[in-house]
Amino acid sequence: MKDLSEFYTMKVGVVDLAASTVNVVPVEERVVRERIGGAAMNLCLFDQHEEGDPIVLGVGPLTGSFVPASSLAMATFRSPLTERMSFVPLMLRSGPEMKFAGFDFIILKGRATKQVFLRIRGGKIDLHHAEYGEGLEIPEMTAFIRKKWGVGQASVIAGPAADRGEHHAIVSCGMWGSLDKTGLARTMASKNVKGVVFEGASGLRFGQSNLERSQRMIVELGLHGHLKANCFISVLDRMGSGNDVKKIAGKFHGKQMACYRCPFPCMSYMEFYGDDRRRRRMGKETTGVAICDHRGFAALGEKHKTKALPLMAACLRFGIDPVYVASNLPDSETLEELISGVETLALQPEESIQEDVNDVPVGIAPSLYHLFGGGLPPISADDSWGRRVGFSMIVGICPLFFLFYSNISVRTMLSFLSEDDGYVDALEETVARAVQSVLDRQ
Amino acid sequence: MAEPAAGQTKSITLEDLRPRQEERKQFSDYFMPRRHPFILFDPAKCTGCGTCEMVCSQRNVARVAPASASVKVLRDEEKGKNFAILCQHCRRPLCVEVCPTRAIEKGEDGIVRIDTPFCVACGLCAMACPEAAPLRDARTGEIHKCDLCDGDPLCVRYCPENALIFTRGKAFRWIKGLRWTVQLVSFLLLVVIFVGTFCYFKAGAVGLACPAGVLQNIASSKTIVLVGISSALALVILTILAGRLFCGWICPFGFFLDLVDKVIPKRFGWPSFLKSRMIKYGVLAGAVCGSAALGFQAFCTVCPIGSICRSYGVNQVFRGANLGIVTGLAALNVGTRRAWCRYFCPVGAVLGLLVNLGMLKIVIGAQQCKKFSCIQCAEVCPVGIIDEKLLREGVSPRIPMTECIMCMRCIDRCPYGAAKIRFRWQKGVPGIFGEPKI
Repeated sequence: MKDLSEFYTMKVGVVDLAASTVNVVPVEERVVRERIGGAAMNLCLFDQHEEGDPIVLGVGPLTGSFVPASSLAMATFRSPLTERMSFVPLMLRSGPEMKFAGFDFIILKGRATKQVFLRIRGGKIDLHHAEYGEGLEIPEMTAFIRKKWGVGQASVIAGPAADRGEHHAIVSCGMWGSLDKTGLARTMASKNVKGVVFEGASGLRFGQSNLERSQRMIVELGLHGHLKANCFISVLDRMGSGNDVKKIAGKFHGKQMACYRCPFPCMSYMEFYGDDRRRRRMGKETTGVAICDHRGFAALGEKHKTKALPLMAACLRFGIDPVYVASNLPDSETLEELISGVETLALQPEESIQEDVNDVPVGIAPSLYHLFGGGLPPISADDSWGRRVGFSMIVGICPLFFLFYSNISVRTMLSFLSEDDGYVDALEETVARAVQSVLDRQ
Repeated sequence: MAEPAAGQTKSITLEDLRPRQEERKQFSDYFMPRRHPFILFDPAKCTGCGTCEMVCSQRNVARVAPASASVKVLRDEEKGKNFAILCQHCRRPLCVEVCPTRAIEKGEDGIVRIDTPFCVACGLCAMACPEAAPLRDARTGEIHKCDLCDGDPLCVRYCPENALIFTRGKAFRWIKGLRWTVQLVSFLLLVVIFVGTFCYFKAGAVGLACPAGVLQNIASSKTIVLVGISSALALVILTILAGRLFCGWICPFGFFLDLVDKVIPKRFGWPSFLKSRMIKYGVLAGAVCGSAALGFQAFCTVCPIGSICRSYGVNQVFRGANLGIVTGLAALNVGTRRAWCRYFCPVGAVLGLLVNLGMLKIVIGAQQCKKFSCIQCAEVCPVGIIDEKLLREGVSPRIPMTECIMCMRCIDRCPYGAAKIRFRWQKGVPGIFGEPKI
């Protein structure tokens, strides 16, 4: 029987921000057997360190493996907006890089005296002062990190909106933004954590059979060499977005982008022009924005049409939730006024927290939706939504992919953990209990 | 091994242990250049998922560790671009040259491999490689380099978007075949069948004439003959429509020079004071002025194109003077390829002036262009107008169409499909300063 410890580095980094100390402890195999990993393990670690009001970053057993869309890391914390537990999915390469940097789970507790950056590599966690990052916009911050520590790493950064105490600030994975709509950025800022940088130099053994099985799955799903379809628009379509939004997405679509080992490139890099009409006619001065937040794009697109793209770029620059911006931006005619409105919302936050965090899709209970970060596209909004998202957050695969391809069963995914049918049966039961333990926190 | 001098101890050198392999030229290479395997990367398709890095590291170190892969995907989130760093298995690999232990060798199959036991991980290969393709393992410090998985690259097999394509280049260069055929037919028609008709040909109302000859005729006779001008129209229109296609595809002397090129074993270079391409405009001006002064078409008497066209026939075949001119000017190829066409040909000068009204251009450096690690286009260009230095700096060179003979060797040779014919008014390619992308 295969042990799940093969899928982990079996290390937890406990960072006491107040004391500026790092303690590396082994993961208990018993807990892994009971909780599998990901959100369920995060929850367990959160409970163990609850007195420090921690943020727990964690990965699942399949994170970083050959399994399609095995890109997920998740952050668990107490949301300042809902006052409940929240599990925010972190996309792109955060999960695999964290695992390859030598940690399965990282607990950030306490509050640093000065703003810090966490650099995680080679099984070590270094704390760097980040006063220079105060107020820097996210692209500038990302460029600064790359200049300082080189390319090839993954980063999770809180932007200037979080620095100013905006409750609807979002963290940004690189420059792409994120699906954080329950205040992870605000929580990080409250702990004086500007960002976390992962540099994965190591690796894990996943086996050739893991690769072959995953390739078969990709081919069976019709995802091998299928780039003719625009996956970003497919997601908008399944979300029930209007035709206007889809038209904007189609018109300005530049390139499809994917997270780690994802055959379904649901993110889009969109190219647009500045507001200078003359230059626009000449086809010059194009700029672009990388979008992974489908809900944010849809909200801005429905209200502001083609101005959605520069507004989206402004939201990502300041690190503020586009859904919140769409519903709170004053009606203005010109793009300059709108962008200045975004800046005002981001940098001059209101003291009070709004009652409703943001619009919740029909068919999903608000508490359940906010449990998983409040930013996932509402694909297949039925009873299975919570369970499928919970499962993907536990094993470490992208919930969007798992929701979109609803024909992929839980058992199929678990079979990547072991080829022993009996063990997979046992895992199925264990994972159902783990999912329930997560869902109970809504 | 050289014998040591008296009193000197015999020492073993690297040359004795690992002698450098000489590139063996095969007879078939003269007809069809050897094909080198490599992986073609299409940045438009790459989504940056990193599957290539995963499967490569699985092969290298039997674990999923992108930092130990022989391929690296660079992701530019600000510009929405991805770029894969891959070994191109260059024809003349710089990594092989610089390796101090000769651990890197290019095999008979064209694959450049590192012989791991001999590698001391000094990293000189990575510094010398224009692609920076030998990658240092962040964990172990070893150097990993793509070996194409011995002919079945895993990254190509598993890339979900087919952004990587394994290729051995073009099996048959159809442009080359077509050009040689057209050149041969033109040569036979102009030299053997319709002897001397290139300079002036008239059949009923249809007249054809050499444009340089027409200019000299006007100068010498001091009269503008409309029939003469209209006779030159065919070549004028062809040049406006398709550039100096005549020079590359039809000119019998050009064909002769291409044949001579095939038998010249080594070129000695061209003196720098004769390297100005403006000389041919001077020759044209001199021919016209000379004709006006002498009262006859002075240059036509020594024109190599006319000479070769008039050299065939029962009485003409041994016309020594004509053939002497042809062979004498063809000997200039010992200095550089198509030396006459580059620097002296007044017919080319007239066509070059007309190309300014032309409709076509050749662009090099589309997104697929590898530039610094390839430069095959610059190597095959017979008139040397593709700036190798710019390519090595990663900049797409602008092709001066007045000098281009439209032989299309660059298009034919480019393994990446990055050399293209475009209409003059079409936008440029990325990499050309001041021009937006296509």
